[in-house]
Amino acid sequence: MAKRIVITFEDDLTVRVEAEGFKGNGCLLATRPYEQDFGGVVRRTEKAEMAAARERVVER
Amino acid sequence: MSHYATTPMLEIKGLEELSAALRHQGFEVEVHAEAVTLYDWHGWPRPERAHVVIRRQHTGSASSNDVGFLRGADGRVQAIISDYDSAKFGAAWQRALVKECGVQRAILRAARMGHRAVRTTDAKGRPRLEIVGRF
Repeated sequence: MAKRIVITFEDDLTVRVEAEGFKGNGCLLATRPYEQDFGGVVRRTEKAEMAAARERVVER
Repeated sequence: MSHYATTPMLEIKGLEELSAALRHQGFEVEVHAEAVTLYDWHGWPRPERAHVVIRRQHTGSASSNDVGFLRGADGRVQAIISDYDSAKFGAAWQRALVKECGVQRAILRAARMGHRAVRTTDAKGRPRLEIVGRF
């Protein structure tokens, strides 16, 4: 899978940033500049493809 | 490993994204380093000043006043919209503008990082950017 970041702008004015195709922490490094531009992250959901997602809340 | 992240609610962060968002919506805008005078529908100066201006002849309403946006000392951007124009440039319009500012912010970020932003709309009508390039 090619590496890409998908950004969706929700009607409630939050932004969903999704990283696809990255290995390890590469996704975090790739999306960080975009997330920071949007004021950080209020919730992050990690997803190992085809596996149950583990969800945690990130303190701002 | 990949992830989803959800950000806080958007707000307008700068004049560059604001002017890009307004132009995307089809408006002709002026951008000024120093705030300039706004004019009413008679062409008389108003007390308000703004850094980004849609002049009344470009608002799409014949009897409109200038619409302005003033950047405060804290960097926050305040819309200056007359009561008359609030019917057209009301809360719904401003909300859409804030969302578009977010889109433009990400497009500007992608350009600065040498990435390419491909814009589409998803099935629910929400703006969607796909960022590709060398990560």
